[in-house]
Amino acid sequence: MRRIGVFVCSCGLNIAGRVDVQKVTDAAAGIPGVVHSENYKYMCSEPGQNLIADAIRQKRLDGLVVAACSPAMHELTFRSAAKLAGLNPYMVQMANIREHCSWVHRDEEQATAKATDIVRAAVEKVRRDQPLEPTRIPLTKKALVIGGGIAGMQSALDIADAGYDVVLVEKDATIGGRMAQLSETFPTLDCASCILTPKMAEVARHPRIQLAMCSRVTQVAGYVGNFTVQITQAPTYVDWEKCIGCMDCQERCPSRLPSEFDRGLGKRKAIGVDFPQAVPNRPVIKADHCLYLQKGRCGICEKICPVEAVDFQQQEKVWEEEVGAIIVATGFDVLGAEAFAEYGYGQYPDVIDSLAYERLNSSSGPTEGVIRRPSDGEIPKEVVFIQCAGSRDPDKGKAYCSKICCMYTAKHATLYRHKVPDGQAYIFYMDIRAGGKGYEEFVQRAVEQDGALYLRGRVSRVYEEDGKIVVKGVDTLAGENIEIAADLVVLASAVTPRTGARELAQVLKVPADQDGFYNEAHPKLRPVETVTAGVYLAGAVAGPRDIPEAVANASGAAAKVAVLFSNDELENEPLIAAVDESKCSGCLWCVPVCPFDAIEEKELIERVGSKEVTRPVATVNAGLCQGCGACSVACRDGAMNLKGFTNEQILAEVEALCLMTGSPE
Amino acid sequence: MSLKNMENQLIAEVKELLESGKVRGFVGFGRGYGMAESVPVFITDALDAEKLVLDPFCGMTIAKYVLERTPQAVGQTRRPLGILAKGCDGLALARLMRDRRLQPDDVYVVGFNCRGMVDAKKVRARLGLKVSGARLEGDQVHFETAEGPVTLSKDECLLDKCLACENPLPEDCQVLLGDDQDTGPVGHRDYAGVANLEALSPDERYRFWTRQFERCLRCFACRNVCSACNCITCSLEDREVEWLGKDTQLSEQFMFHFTRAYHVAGRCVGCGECERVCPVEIPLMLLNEKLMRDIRDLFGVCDPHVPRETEPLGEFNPEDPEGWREEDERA
Repeated sequence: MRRIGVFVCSCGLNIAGRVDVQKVTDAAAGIPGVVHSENYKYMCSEPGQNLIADAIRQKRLDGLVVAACSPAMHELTFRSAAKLAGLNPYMVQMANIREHCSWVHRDEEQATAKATDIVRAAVEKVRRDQPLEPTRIPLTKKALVIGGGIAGMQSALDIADAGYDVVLVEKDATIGGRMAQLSETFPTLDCASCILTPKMAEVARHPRIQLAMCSRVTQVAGYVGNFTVQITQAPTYVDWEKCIGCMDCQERCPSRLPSEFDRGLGKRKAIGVDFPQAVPNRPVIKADHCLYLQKGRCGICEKICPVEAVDFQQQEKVWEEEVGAIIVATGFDVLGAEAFAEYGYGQYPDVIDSLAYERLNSSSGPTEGVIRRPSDGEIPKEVVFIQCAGSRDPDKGKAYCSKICCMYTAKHATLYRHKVPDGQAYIFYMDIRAGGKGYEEFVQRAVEQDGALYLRGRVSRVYEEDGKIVVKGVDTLAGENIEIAADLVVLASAVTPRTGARELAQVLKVPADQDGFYNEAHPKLRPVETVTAGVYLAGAVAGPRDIPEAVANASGAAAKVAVLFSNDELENEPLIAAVDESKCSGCLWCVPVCPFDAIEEKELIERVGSKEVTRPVATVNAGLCQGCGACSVACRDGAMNLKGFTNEQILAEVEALCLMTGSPE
Repeated sequence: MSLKNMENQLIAEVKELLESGKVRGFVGFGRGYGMAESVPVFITDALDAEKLVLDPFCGMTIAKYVLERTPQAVGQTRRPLGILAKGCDGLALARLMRDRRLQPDDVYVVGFNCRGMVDAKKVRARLGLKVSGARLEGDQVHFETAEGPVTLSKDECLLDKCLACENPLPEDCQVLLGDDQDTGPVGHRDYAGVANLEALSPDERYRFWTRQFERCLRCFACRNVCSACNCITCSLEDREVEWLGKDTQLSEQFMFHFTRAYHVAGRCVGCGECERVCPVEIPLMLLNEKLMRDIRDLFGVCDPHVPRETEPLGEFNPEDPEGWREEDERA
C-alpha cells in the first residue's frame, strides 16, 4: 500500500481566491492511501518545499500529489524537491487546480468540488506510479549551426569560444546573411558593415569553426547528443583550396546578370562574389548564366586563373557530420511581388521593397549610397513609404506584425532626409510600434528633426501617371483622402520565414506555426529551445526579430548548447514509451504516427509448441522517443504504454473522475 | 464465365495445388446443411477437392480463417495456405497484410471476379419459399424453388455489402478463375443509412443507438469475424487493464461498441461480416460506414475501405491542416 502525501497550494489568492483549499485538503485526507495532507500559501517557495521534504521523511511518503498549478509550470520544481528528500522524482504527480480550475470557474462551491475531484484522480494515478530511472547516453560535443547570418554567426562564435567545435552551414557563398545587405542600423545609425564584417572575419578565422558554404542540411537522424547530419554542398565550380581570391575571373567574365544580393537593382558577373567584403572571399560560378556551362564556349576564367582553380567538372558534394546539438538560424525572407498587385510592386520599377532601399543606401550598393530611383537614375524628391505591406493583414495570410518595419522605415526616412535634404518622405502607417531601448526617441527624431510626414491610414492603390507613381490613400486622422505623386515608393514588406524553412522543419522534426515560423518549446520560459531535444532556435527563424534580439537569442541558444556539452553523458528522460511484446501484434501502426521516428520493427523469437517461430513486434528507441504518447493512442491492443502515463493509470484517473462527488446535479 | 464453370475450374486447380504440395491446405466453401447455404471448409487432402462449392451463396468473407493457420500461429514451415477469394476477401487479406499479421507468401490466392452473392435472409423474407439453387444472370438472379423457378432483381436479393461493392475482383491473386471481363463495380456505397441517421436529432440518435446496444449479448462474434480486429491480444480482454467491465449495463455496452468502431475506423474493409454474424441484429455497418464516410470527406480519401500503406488516421503529418477544427471555431 502506498503512503501518499497530498500538498494543496493556495498560490496566494490564485487558487485560494476561488477554491476552499482547506476543504480540498480535508477531503484528500479521507482518500484511502493518503497518509498526509496539508495546505500552504506558496508550495513552490522554499518553506513550501521544506514542508514537503519534512513530510516525506517523517511520514515515509512514497508518492506525492501536489495540487497547485500546471505541470508545465512547476512539475520540475517539485520533482527536484522530492529527489532531494530521497523520493524517486517520478512518484510526484501535479494536480492542476489553478489553470484547470480556480482560474476558469466563478462558483466557489463547484470549483472546490472540482478541485477535490482533480486531486482524487491524481491520487489514483500516483497509486499506480512506478519509480523510474533515467538511462544514460554518451554525446558528441560538436554543434551544427544552420544559417550564417548574424544570429548563426553569433551562436557559432559563442559555442566555439566555449571550447567546442562548430560546423556552420550556409546556403550562400558568403556568410553575413540579411545584415550584410543593410546600410545603417537603427536606432544608432551605425553602419551595418562596420559592425558585421569584423564578425564575419572572426568566424572565418576561428580554429573551432568549420564553414560549409553553398550547403544545405538534407537529412537529420539520431537524437540529442547523437545527431547524424547529412550536408549537401552545391558545386561552386571553383576549387576554393587553390583559389587565392584575386578576382581576376570576376573582372574578365563577360556574362552579367541581375544581382540577387542587390535585389535586382545592380548587375553581377556569372563568376564572382556577392559583394566585395564576402567571407570567404572566394568566387562561385552561377551555372545558369555561365556561357561555358550553358553553351560550352568562353571559359575565360579557366584560362586566366593563375592557380588553375576553376573546375567546370565540380559536382555536388554530400557528406555526414556527427553532432550533439543543432542551432537553427535560417533567418527571414520578405513577402514577394505576387502579394502586392495593388501597390504595383513588380510592375513599376520605382516601387521597391525595403531591402532594395537598403541596397540603394549602401555605399557598396549599386548606386554607391546615392538614392537614385531604379527607372531613370534620378534622385527622387517625394518618397512614399508604405508600412504593414502584407503584415497585420489576414487577407494576405499574414495576421502577425513584422515588428522591425516601423523602426527601419523611420530609419529609411531619416537617411533619406540626410541624403536628399530638399526631399519629402511620407509614411503610411497603421500604428507605430517602437518598443525598445532608444527606439521611440529615434522615431520622434525622424518626425521632428528629419521631417518625416507620418500619415495614419492605408494605401488603396498605386499607379503610374506622367512619370510619377501616384499613391492614393486615406489619412484617417484628418479624415481625408490623400493622393501623392511620388518619385519612389518603398514597401515595408512582411517578414516571412526563409523559403525552404518548412522543409527543413520536417527534416529536423521541429513544429512550425501556420506562418512557417518555428515553434519555441515554451514562448516565455524556453524561447530558444524546441520540443525536439537538442535542437535550438536563434533569430528570425522563430518570428520577426531585429538585430539585438537575434543576437541575444543566438547567445542564449549557444549557452544552452554549452550547458548541454558540459555533461559527459546525457540523462534520458524516462517518461518514454515502452512495448509489452507479449501483447504487441506487430501491426506497426505506431511507426508512421511517431513524429520522432523512434519506433522500429524487431523480430521476436517465440516458442510455439516445440518449434521456434519469429514474429515482428515494435520496439522503442529510448534516445529518440520524446514521450509524446501518439503511439500508445494508436496502439489498439494496448501493448504500447507511456511510462508514467500508462493505460492503467489513465483509466484509474478517469474512473476516479467518474465518481464526481462534487458534480452539480 | 458462369459460377458453375468456375467451380469446376476451382476444383481442378485445388486438386493440383494439393497434389503438388504447393499449398498445405485450402480454405473455400462447401455444401451447408440446407441447399441455399454454403459454409467455409478447410481441405488438406486432394481427394476432398470435390467438396468445394462455388455458387451464389458463398457470401461470407473467409479471409480471416487463414490467421488461425499461419506459420506463426501453428509453428509450421512456410508453405502457403490456399484460399478462395472474392473482392471482399481480397481487401480483407490486404488488411491482414497491412497489419503485418500475414506475409504475402503465407497465402496462395485463387481469386474470381465476383458479381455479387445472395442474401439468404432477404430471399426468405421475399419469397417465403425454400430455395434449392440459384443462378446469376446480368442484373437478375434465377432461383429454383419447390414451386418452380422465380426471378428476382439483384437489388432485391443480394447482400448489402455486394450492393455497395466497388471492388469485385481481388488484387494480387496467384490464380484468377474464369475470364476477367466485366470487372466493373457490382454496386455503389451511397451511405444512405448514414445520411438517414444524421438527419435525426442528437437525442433521437442516442435513443436509436440505445435501443441497438441494449440488445448486445457481448458475444464478441462481431470482433472475432472481423479481419480488421486481428490483434493477438484484444485490449477488451486485457487482464491487467480493465478497459471494459464485464457487466452489461448500458455504459459498458456503449464503451464496447465505440471501442470496436474506433479500433476499425479507417481500417474497416466494408465486408459487413460483423453485422451478418450479430445474433441480435445490431446494424454495426452503420457505425463503420459513418466513420468511413467521415474519413472520405475529411481526409479526401475516395476509397476509405481499401487498405493502404499510409492511412489517414495512422500517420503523423506536420502539414495536417486540421481544417475541421478551424471550421468549428468559425461556426
